[in-house]
Amino acid sequence: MYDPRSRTLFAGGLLDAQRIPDVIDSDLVRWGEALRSLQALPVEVIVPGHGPSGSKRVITLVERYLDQLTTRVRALLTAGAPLSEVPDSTSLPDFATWDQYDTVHRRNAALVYLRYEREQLIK
Amino acid sequence: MPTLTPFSKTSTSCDPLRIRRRRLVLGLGALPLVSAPAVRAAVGGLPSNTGHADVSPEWELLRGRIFGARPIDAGSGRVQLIAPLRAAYGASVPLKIVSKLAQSPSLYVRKLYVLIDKNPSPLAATLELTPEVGQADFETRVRVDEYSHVRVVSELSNGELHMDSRYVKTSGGCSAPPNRDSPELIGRTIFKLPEPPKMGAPTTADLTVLHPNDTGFELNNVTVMYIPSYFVRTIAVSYAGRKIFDADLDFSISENPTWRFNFVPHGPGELRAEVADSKEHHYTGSLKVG
Repeated sequence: MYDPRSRTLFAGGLLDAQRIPDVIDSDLVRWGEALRSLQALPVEVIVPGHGPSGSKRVITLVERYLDQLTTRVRALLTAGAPLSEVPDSTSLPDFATWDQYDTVHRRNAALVYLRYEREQLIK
Repeated sequence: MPTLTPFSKTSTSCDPLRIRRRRLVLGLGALPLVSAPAVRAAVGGLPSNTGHADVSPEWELLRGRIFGARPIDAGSGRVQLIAPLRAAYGASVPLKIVSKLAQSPSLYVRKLYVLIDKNPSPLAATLELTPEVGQADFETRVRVDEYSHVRVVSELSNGELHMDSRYVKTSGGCSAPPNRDSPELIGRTIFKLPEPPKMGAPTTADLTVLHPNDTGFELNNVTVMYIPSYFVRTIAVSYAGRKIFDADLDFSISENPTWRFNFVPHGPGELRAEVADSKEHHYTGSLKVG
């Protein structure tokens, strides 16, 4: 929800701040597109689904997290890493201080791996 | 028969039979546990019983139902189960089974049972093997619905039963929604060889069946009805017409059931899988080798 008068965006589940975004019910491609369209808005204040409000940097950080997550997991799959190693091998130091790093982030890694693996299988 | 309780009556007797019996009961004792890591401490004050002879009320019941009064050796190290203590995603928990003996016609692993004590349907898989697997190591992924022991029981061709278990902390495995994007792909059965085949030696292969493996415990948010269970029930794997293993499966196996296994190619041939699901749909997959 966007209030053009105060240039405030209530981002709901699209954005979290200082907390690992959960990919479990997401379509990563469309999420990325949605974040790009939010970047194009003249927003000054963002109220994320979780965490403190902030500037557009909130969007940039979520984009960066999703980018690092998917890049790392893709590399692990290409290298033939088994699922059992994926959560440990997907450490992302930039986000290690974020809430849910020890739980949701590890699950995200496993989930993204399984999705990419399926894509590879059905090619 | 010995009961499988960790607090069986202790005895000061030196009668070797009695000592042997206690070792079977406790899964501990004089024999070193070759590959067993030390029991790990509790994380977050949760149960720390990550040993290998662990019992649970569910297991006490299952044991009688599946194995009757047959003794099960939980400390021999003949079979090892590798599973994460804290699994990242309950709907797909990787399991690895390692057998500490080579498959030879004189003594081989005849059956492997995979159990998840607290799942709605605890017996996840029963594999029936031939010596043609060469090395009875398997990897798969299972759903774990709540904190539970996961165990493997290995039945040797001489009738001995060996067990290993792990405590796995995760949850939600049976209600997580699978991918339903491409129903036309259900049943596609794919083999892959991670490494080139070795003639006359155990060669590793991966088998995946694309299938939602619906548990029946996932709620449809629109109809507020449970989505009926629909899962791969049997897989029969052969090479060049010779049986490698048969798998009898349940919805405790994750979406897109996956098995890594070994087989011994004696010459060029075809790996073949015949798959049947709970709606009696039949699928096949094959791969030419050599």
